[in-house]
Amino acid sequence: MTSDGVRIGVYICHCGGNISNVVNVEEVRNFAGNLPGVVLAKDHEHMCSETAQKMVLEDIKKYHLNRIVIAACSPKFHEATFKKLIEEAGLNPYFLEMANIREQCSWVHSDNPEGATLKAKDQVAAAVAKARLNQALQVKEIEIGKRVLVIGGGIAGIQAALDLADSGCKVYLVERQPTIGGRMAQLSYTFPTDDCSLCILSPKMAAVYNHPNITLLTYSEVERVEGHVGNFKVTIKVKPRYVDMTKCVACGKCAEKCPTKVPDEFNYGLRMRKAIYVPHEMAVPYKYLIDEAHCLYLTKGVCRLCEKVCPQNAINFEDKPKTINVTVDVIIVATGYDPFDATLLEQYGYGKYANVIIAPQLERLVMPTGPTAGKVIRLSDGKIAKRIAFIQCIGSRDETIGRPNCSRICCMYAIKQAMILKRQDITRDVYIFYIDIRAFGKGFEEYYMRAQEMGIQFIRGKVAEIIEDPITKNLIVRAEDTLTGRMIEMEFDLVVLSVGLVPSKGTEELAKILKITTGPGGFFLEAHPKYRPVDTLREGIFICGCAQGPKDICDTVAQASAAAGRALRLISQRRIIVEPIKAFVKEELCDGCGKCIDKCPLGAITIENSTAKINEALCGGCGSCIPYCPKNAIDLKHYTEEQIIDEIKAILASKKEGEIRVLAFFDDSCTYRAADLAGTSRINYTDKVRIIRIPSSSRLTPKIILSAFKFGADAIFIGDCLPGGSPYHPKVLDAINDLMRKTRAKLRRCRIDARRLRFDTIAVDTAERLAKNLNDLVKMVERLGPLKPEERAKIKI
Amino acid sequence: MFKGLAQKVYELTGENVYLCFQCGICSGTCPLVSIMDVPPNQVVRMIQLNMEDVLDSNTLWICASCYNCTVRCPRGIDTARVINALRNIKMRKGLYVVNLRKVPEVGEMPQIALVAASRKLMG
Amino acid sequence: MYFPGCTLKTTALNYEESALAVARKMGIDLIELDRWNCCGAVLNLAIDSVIHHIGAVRDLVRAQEMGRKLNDNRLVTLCSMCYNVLKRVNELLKIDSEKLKTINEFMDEEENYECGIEVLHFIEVVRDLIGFEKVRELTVKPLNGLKVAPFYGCTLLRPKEIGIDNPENPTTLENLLEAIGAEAIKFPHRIKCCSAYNVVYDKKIAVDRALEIRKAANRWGANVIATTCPLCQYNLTLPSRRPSIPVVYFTELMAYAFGIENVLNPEVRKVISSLLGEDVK
Repeated sequence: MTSDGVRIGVYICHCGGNISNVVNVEEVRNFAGNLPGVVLAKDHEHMCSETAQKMVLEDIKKYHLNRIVIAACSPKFHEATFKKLIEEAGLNPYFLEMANIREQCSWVHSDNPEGATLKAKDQVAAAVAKARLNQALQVKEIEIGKRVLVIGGGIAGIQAALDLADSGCKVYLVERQPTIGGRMAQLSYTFPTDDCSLCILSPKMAAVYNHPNITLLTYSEVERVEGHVGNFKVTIKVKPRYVDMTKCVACGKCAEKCPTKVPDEFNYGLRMRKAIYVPHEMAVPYKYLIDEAHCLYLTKGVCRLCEKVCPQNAINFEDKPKTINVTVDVIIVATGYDPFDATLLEQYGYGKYANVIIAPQLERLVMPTGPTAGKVIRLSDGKIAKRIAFIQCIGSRDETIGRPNCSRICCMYAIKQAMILKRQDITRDVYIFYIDIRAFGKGFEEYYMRAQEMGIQFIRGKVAEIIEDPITKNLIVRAEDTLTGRMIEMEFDLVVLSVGLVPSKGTEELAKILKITTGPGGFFLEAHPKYRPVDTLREGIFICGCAQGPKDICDTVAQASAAAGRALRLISQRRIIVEPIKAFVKEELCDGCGKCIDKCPLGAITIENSTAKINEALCGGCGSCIPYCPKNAIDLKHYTEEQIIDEIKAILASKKEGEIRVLAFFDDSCTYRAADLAGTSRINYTDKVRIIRIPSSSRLTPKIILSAFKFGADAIFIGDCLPGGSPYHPKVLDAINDLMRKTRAKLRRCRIDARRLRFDTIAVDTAERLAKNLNDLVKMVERLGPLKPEERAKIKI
Repeated sequence: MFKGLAQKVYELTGENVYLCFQCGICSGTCPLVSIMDVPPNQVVRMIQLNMEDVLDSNTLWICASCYNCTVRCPRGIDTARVINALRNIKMRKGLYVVNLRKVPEVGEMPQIALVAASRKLMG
Repeated sequence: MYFPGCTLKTTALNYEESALAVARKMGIDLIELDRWNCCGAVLNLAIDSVIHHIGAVRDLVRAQEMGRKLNDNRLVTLCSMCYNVLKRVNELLKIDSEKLKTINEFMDEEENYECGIEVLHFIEVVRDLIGFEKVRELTVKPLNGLKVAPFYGCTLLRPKEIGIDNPENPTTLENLLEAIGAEAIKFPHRIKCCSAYNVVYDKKIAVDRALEIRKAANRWGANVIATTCPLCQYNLTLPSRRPSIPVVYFTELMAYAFGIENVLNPEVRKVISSLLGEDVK
């Protein structure tokens, strides 16, 4: 990259006195005019005004300028405006650089005009040095169409699919079970309205089945996803049903004859189904299928009775898995949850004691269409249960099994089930053993009050263990009533474990297929829990419902519509702009070792012809790969290593012997904003700091940091986002920490006090803390003294 | 970091008693809770609230460190260790809860009982 | 190598005798440490305590010395309390090098302990080294009709880090009992505590606790309780109200099943044979 033919125009803004009252703008202008490559240096009262902008346009034409530096307010304000401006003049927008001499200069050094002026000069020098090496970069446009893949056909997937299909999108709804409806179809009634679950769900299921814009693929799974937003290439495997859906009329004659009985998953094993079966009475599509793991013919080669009796000739034992390839623009993940496996907590006896069941099983027992026609019976002897205990927090809020989270719905569903039991028979004794009752939603506390009114006993004490009486099979529950401090030991007919929610089986594998992450607890990770709850860090992929975390139906439907809304937002833009600030490989340095591949959180790096290749469509521009390349072969566009080192040289050039300079690297999202906030809050801090703006600290390398020391820095401050505050993938923080470790080791080898390198996480709103940090660092350096020339000479880069 | 009993317990055990959310599972599980005057979860509560009279309860001496509570605590607190810490606080001041001379069948008892008793119950 | 502990040489001699005989039958050579001292019986739980571990560490050093001569680093104990202390001290010193250093420096007349000893309970040896299949083969008199309630006690199973089995649902003793032909009764108190040294403090506590355990064993249909620890044995047999149910060591049952019941204490022999419905020889 050469800087020949570069003609730079520099403009210093007065900002209506906001800058010029502190900084001597004429001095800065004159200084800028003498910098290498600068053809023109002007100052103006308001660079953002129409007149100033016109002036810049004219200057570009008149003086054949091809780089523009504007020293004014924070780029966060007007960078986009000025970029558009120079584009109008025919220049690539990435030939613009801004120097922040307001928020990060005049507004924070108002007590020191001399220092502020010197700093302004240095910052302008840095901007000029960077502008010289800025390359023309093309913003890419990706077209976004209206094709959406929804993974998961529960209430979340159904809601999202309907919202999108109704808005004119083409939706592929892929569901791994043979029917849609998910967990909601297995529920009896739903709190707090006590609506019959299937009654409110079935119309939506039917709407999905009949919608012209939805292609429903049941008994199917997503196998592979390549590509990026606007162009996801999806491979879907459709499992064989062995029953021709176009011929099957669901008469059921096959199931009557089938000799094989299998525990029915829909009823959590409380009933048996046949190997040829329809999942439940309200299944959509309402067609039979053969369970190939249990069918006698498919496993042992005998039987085929179903084929003989089917009046429609719908049985097809030659059926094979099919592969369907579709291309979609956006993906929504709605894969739901599984109930926690209570056999893992052996002290409660689930799986050993007949009369200990889990709450989802009770949902089935109370259904009039369920396995016992609505009678809540003990599984040991079939007698109706009269004394029932609910035990809360099974599989939730429990460090012993690594599940510290609360599952959010168990308090409410236990109260619901308890009320159902009491409504069936008010003389029943129903107890709920809890740690807390979480009734947070709209109408929830009132629901809880109604339960208490019915005489349901709430005992605050987590049950330690359940003992089964060997003769009666009754269950003895031992707990402490913490509110009275008394031990409670009671006998019950039936114990219901309120199991928590865990991510549905296959979540980790799907996360790898989609290249998105899961968070603590194993649920899919949202981009930000507060203000981007249904986005993931991969553009074009959204999550909703229990796939993102435990929640009830109200919140699930809300999130599903939210995800559909976010998808529609992308779709209605018709095209998205992809920022060209991406990592790239200096192929002459790369030896194809592949160490970078795992470090990219978005899977954007592959090896081709013994060289690493970065897929720009996938690259997020975080720079996590950079610190790990042993050959230093990866760089970042628009913020190359060479550019930053040139910036460093320029920004420290004015330093005289004996003076202190602290060089600060601020990450664009958090620390830079915090520094701007310090400016708007007029918090004064030391003027001995010089600032370089970078997208993320992971972009730095030991070479850059050592160069900074070599060229005059006495201390270096690096600020980056708190965990969870970064717009980049969380893995970027690992890269930053590894970078710091490596660099400190190198500093020690050069015999430089490692305290001169400080890294801190800065939240956007902690301007005071940032200012204090910088002041403290300068004070420490004043105590240690500036680095001596001999020490600098020892640094090898 | 903490004050009072909670700090002393932290120094002796490394356990942070403020993590306890009073679920009561330790008491529910304790085989000897029926003879304790203050059940284990209340002992922890009293440490949280710096109620020094917890050191006068008989719980500290009855606890056999069977570890049932620790194994089941959903917050991962080593409750047996915490109760032992209170015992240590008393013992290190020279308290003797049991006088082996006064125990009638001391000759027949297995030695482990006597050694354990002397280490756990004598200052 | 074998660490007996104080109790096994005196009040629980029958445990040792039956165990050694059973071990010989299975082909295990339990060589007693030539010098040993009391391990301390309980672990001091305060994290700043160092001197309280000295007894146990000395035993581990003894094992280390002897282990070199025998070219074997395994130390087996019969007493569950000794197992608990030795194993936990061993694990503690493996991770806390500061404490190890302090103890090594303090015991300047001993060689430094290098944390190379593996502490095992006898029943682990039976389960892992011998295997229950072999036990089944060696059983000449299967104890049919014996409904044995295994009592693990607390020190064998907890804390989780050193337990020999799952503390909520262990199966080791049950499998062993089945291998010698008896029926294992999984009664819920089998993982609980007998109240240990409380018997010294207030005998009534131990008596009441023992009664509760015996009642449960009875309700669950057991006719004998098998223990692994001399203190559980003592506590469970404290004289008190009915039901009284015989309590024996699991090794005594094994000895009977292996046909070497002559090593058993005559009372124990009588109890087992009458439960089996045999005449006493």
